Amino acid sequence: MTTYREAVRTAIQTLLREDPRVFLMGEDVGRYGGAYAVSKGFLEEFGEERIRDTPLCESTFVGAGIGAAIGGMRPIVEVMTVNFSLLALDQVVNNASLMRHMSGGQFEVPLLVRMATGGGKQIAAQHSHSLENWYAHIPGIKVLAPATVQDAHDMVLAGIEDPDPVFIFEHQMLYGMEGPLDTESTPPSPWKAAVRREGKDVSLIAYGGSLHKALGAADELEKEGIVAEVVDLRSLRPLDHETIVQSVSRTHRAVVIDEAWKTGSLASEISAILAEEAFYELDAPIERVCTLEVPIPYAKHLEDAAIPQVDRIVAAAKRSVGGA
Amino acid sequence: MVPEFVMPSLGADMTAGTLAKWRVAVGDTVSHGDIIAEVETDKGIIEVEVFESGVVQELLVREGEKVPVGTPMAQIGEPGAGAEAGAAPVAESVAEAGAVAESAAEAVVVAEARAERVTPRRPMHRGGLLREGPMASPAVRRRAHELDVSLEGLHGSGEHGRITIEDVQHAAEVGPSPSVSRDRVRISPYARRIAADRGVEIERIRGTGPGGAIRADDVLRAEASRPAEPVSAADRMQRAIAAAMTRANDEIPHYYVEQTIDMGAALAWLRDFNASASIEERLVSGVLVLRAVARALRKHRSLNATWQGVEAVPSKEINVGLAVSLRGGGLVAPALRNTDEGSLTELMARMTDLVARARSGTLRSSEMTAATITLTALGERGVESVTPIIFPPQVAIVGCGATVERPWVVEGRVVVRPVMRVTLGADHRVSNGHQGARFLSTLESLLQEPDKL
Repeated sequence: MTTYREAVRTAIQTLLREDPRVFLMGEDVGRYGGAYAVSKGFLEEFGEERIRDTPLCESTFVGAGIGAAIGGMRPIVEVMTVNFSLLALDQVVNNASLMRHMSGGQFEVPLLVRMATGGGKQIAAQHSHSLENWYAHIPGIKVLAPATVQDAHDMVLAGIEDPDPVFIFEHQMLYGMEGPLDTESTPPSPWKAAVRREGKDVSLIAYGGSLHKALGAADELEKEGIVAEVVDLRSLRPLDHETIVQSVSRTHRAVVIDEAWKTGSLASEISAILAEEAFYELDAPIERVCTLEVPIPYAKHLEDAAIPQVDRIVAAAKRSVGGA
Repeated sequence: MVPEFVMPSLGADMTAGTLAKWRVAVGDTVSHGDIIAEVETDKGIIEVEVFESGVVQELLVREGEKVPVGTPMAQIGEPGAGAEAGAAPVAESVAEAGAVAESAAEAVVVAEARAERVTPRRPMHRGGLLREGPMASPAVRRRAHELDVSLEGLHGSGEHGRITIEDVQHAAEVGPSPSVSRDRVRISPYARRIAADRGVEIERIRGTGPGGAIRADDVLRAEASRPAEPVSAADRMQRAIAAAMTRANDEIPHYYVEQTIDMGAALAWLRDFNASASIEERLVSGVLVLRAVARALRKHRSLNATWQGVEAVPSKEINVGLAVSLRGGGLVAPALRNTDEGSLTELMARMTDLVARARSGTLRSSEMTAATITLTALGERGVESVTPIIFPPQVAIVGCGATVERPWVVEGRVVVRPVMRVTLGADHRVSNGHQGARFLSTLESLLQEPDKL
């Protein structure tokens, strides 16, 4: 068994060993070993040229990553959390995502940016939000949300291979999670959603940290005779319409779980896709289980109450199935 | 204006009918009472009359098409109103005018005058308006928009069914009428789709979802509980009877009063009458009872009415419906119009004709709906008394048993007399046992003086 953290680390280590164009850059990735300890020991193994500690200035080091990628390198940029990444949004929206378009296809930006997202660790509002939907809004970049140990590994490799800027959102609650890791087999396409559990009564559609809450809810529902299907989106941009629509066409009910705020969330987008493409398959209103529209509180009980939990997912699924 | 011929309601439970056959074509002249179509309902194929006179201008419904009650099926124009129909009379007038005119000049003048007179009045294109929506003025439409009232299906109380502002305001206060809300069944998109795929009528499904919403499971349950197709006409009729009788039992608080009536005088009179009558003119005792019931109703109008949702509305005519059992198990109760009027011989002929046509399935639409009370006589089978169930929206029903010889006390002596048990079942919302008893008493008296029937 391997931890999620170890899986990400293994993938980056493999890339650093095999491809001299790859380097890692970000706040505290060198001497400190990474805010989430993903790059511990890398500085010793690969040296200061390839493991670069940066100033506390996201705009600068994301911009530098874009430049390096255009220049032929394969940079991996680690941003501490999505909350801080907003400082680099100008670089992302106005440079990284536009470069291919503005250069008439002359330049591509094979940049990989990784960052932590989500709440649950009592690190308060400025470190706990889920803003990956902001990124998923932007054409020209790709957005991945690995929810399993295997995907944490495979998506780093796929992100580097891709010729366009790829943003990977690692839920901060998942780093310690253990799971099997296969580094030999050919991984499935990262751009397709996966059915993590088959069911017939309701589709629980989730990604990242919420996937495990959805799986927990499916266990609870099964005790009451409701067989839930659990879909892991995996890729937030592009979104895999086909898998979502097929799942709901089997179950005819959908509960979308998203740790972002409900308004303007990916859950909203998925609901709209289902309304557009699976309207005649729906047997109940679509349910959304999202974070309450408040800054994520520090206090444990309030933080738990704000973020989607198993009980809220179970209740939504029952409303959907039971009609109560 | 162009009157419309609409899908008639041929029974309280009829919501839609299938046009089996047109008996007319575009251009045919029809007059009040003509049979112009055959409509298939749960009760069988019914010949439908037109209540307008004029020329068939357009047939709006194809044969085999099933449409809801009230759907316009044809447009009947006034004679000469249509372009083609109008041309002939004008030409005739010209010829006619020419024949009687002294000079050519005069003929032209007369012809022009005539032509002017018979030139079709520019018809109000009500049909055209209807295709775009109900007749309502811009002000009414605006008010409807403000009050969020749909004009579709709204009853217009104005001239020619025009919707008035008051109609809109009333609709806004009372909410959508049942017929309108039925069009907006609360049902999930998936359930609607599978109901369509499986041919399950969503109007008949009970929804168990939030707010009574119909969901896929409800559709599947409704489908499972649906009798296997195809359903024969007899089965459909049985279902219609089941629905009517269930409704009667659920909604109508029945009360019953019963009286045994001495039929001696009636039968004696009948024997004498028939002895001198030709075979065609001979009467049966049933016709005496039928006439007596109708005449008794003249004095007891509360039993001759229809229940209209909140109150009984007395019927102007006395049209006794006759329960006729059909081969194959069906049952119909067509009406004999104005049963209280005309000679007994005539009533006998009408009754014989009605029963024959009921059994051959060629009843007219008006006969299916006009009954104001029903008479059911099961004496033929030896039954002595009947406890009948009212046929909605009627408010009373009379059941007769067999006329049998029984010991009977007349002036202190026991004699053998032919007697018949008559049971009145009536709607307690409309009348009471006292009124019912008085009706039976009147009926009894009438049957003692058969020569006055």
